[in-house]
Amino acid sequence: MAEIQMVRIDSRLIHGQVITKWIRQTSANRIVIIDDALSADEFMTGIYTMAAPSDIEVNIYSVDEAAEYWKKEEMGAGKLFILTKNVETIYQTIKKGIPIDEIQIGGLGGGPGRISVFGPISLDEEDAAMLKELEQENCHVYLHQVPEESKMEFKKALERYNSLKNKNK
Amino acid sequence: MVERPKTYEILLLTHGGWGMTLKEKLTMIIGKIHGVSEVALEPSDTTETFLQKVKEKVTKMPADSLILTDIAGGTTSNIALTFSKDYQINILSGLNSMMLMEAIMRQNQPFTTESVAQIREAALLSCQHLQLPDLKN
Repeated sequence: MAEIQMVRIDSRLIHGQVITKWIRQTSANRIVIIDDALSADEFMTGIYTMAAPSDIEVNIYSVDEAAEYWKKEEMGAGKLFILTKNVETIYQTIKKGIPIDEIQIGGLGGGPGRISVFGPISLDEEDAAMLKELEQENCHVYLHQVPEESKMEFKKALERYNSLKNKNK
Repeated sequence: MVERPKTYEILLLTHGGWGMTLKEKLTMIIGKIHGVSEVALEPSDTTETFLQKVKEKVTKMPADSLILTDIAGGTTSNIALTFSKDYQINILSGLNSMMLMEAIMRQNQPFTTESVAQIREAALLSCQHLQLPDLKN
């Protein structure tokens, strides 16, 4: 059974903050990216595989593949650093049976309908609803870009989201 | 007026845009610099917005140009690599002052696998643990 060491939502997936900081904070030896589009894209798969340190294995699965792999073999062996680009993917992953009890939101860039709640990390209505539901199901959610800087609990981020939303009305 | 010899483009991709500062300060050592530009990866960028910005630049760069990125495995490098499929460009990661100077010195020739290897070599050689020699007595 593989051991899940960290689950991070980061629209940039494997990048500077992840390879220089978070991977070393954990003792993960496998990065598992869960992303439907990416799992079917051989070229981008190659790029993200290259992006990781050479001693870290990189696997990229669709949500269904990941759920199936967990059901059958609990993702094999090793210490996992799970990455998804967005909230919806991790929500689906959890709903399909992968036991995740803590989520770090590291990077969610801006866009139409999105409100920045903590530095460059933004949420929209759907994100907020899904994360709220996960928290009610006892999954701890927090926002944290880099280890040296402060983090924010999701509850606080949600309050900020709601107050900013009302202000913009 | 003396015509400037043809220069091949050098594009810097750095976190926050520190490459431009490096370029500006290097003029102190090597004088005026041409054909070096930068696309900064800002904290607010997503992979997609950064990709668009780099694309605008890369499509205007002549073949055999050079991209220098700051962190191997970082977004700057990941995005640069995505263009290597459709464009004839060379990419080198680990930007430092010697790397940029060496690249600028070779800018009058198209960048090739060989010249990129030499630029890399120069960059690596500039990284040394400087210690005084052991003095006997």
